[in-house]
Amino acid sequence: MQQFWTDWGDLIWTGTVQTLTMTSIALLISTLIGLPLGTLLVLTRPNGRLANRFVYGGLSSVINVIRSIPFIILLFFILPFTRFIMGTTIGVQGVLLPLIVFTAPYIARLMESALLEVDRGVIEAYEAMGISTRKIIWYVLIREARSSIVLGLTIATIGLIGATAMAGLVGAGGLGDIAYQYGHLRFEPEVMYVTIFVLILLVQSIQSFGNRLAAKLKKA
Amino acid sequence: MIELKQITKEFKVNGDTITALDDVSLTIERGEIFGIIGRSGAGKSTLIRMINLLERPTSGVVEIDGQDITLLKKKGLSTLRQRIGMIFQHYNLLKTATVEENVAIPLRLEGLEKQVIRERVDRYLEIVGLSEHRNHYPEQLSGGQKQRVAIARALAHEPDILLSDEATSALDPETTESILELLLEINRELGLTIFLITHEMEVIERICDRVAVIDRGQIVEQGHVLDVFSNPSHETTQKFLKTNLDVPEEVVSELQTRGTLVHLSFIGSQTEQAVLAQLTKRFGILPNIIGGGIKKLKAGLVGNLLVHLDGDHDQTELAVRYLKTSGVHVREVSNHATVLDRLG
Repeated sequence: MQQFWTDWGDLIWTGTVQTLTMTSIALLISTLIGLPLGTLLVLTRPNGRLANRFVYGGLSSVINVIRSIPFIILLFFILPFTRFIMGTTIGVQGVLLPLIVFTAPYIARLMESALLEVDRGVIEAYEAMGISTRKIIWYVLIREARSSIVLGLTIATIGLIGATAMAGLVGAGGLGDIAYQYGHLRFEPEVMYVTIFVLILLVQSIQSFGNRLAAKLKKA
Repeated sequence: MIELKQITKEFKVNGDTITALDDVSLTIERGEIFGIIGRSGAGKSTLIRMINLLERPTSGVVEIDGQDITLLKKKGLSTLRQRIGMIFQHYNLLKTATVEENVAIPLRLEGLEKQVIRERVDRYLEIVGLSEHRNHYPEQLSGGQKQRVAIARALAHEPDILLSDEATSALDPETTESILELLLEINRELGLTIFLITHEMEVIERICDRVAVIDRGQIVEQGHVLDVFSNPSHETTQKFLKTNLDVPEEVVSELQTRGTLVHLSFIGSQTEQAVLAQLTKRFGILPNIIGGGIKKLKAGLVGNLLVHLDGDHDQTELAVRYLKTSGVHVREVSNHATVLDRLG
């Protein structure tokens, strides 16, 4: 046991940090894109407050198209775009953009369904009080949906962790990469087991944290 | 104070045009409680939403204090809406906010000062009797209490007008009574003009000064509650009232085969005159009381009787005429045009 940690401890620690770094940065930026997009979908959908067939239809199709592409293919498919935006296609920097392109539309859909759960009556009540649409979106729609939003983001985070496993293909490292490189290619099964264990631990704690936060937000 | 002029509202549903409101004109006076009664789908909800323009009329004018509000720009409309409170059948409270916050948040969004907000929250929670529940969440409250929070929220803007969209329809009779009592109190003590829609007779009877009956998008009858209810001229109104006497259909049709069945309404002091006894004395007719009761309307008492008149046909006609000249409202209960129609 002691021997294992001296040999591999640093590597696994570095991988964990890389995975968490990629996941949190990508999650943050994807949410900043996905939440407004989800809101826009809800507002522009037929019978929405700002119903607009073209905006809704267009946005919806784009999201569907991106979501049709598996991450491993998307990663290579948008290489030129990644180079243009990020200046590189390798390392953590190179994988962030594909992760965001992959996750933002997913989050947009999750946010859309969370926001659709909000009772239209409450929104109408606030409209009747002369409160602007902008304020209604933030203080009513998103506030009332916040518990579902947290659950949605939890699902998205776990999806992101899964996607980062493929980041190793462009040299961004991470836990998935370690499991593949060392566990599979170099046949060090213990390394694979330990990385899998760390991944399970991560996913479990993120899910329980999300559940607990959502429950708390629902009540208070 | 509120004037609806020739309001028509059409909706397009799958290419078809549906007329929700058809040339509706109404005037609501300052300080009164005006009720609209109608079945579901009659256009009530659309009508009440014309007053704060949650729905815009296809044609027609909505005036408040002489100002055509359909011409208002965004900012003007928003200011106007702050003067008009609204409560709903399903309360429409924030589930994620406490009672106190439910009242305070809209005021904060309106940009009022903290001190003012605190005073108003205290004041209006006190008025609706929920000061002790201020830190509860809506989920922990009963339906009646939730409606009280909604009323406090509406009042906290200190509006001139309160719109009530079926506010008691989801409540049990006892709770309905207490909410109606609260609305009456608000009307009396704060001087609010209340415009309400309902499908419950009881609501109109208990608190309304004037009523309009809506059927398939049209106002078929309107006036003071006492007048409309003691002398309903439209079939829809009669149906709303008929359900109150609760005489089984079979009994009615059986009695109609022999003699005449009439519905009599007595207003206020007439309740004391022995007009029925006079029928026997003057016309030799034997009145048989089938059902009845006395109702307390906001404006006074109305007695209703369902009476079977057994006797000579011509004498019956004279008797009905006598009742009418005595100030009793008479309505023949029948499917066929008979005595009353001939009398005109």
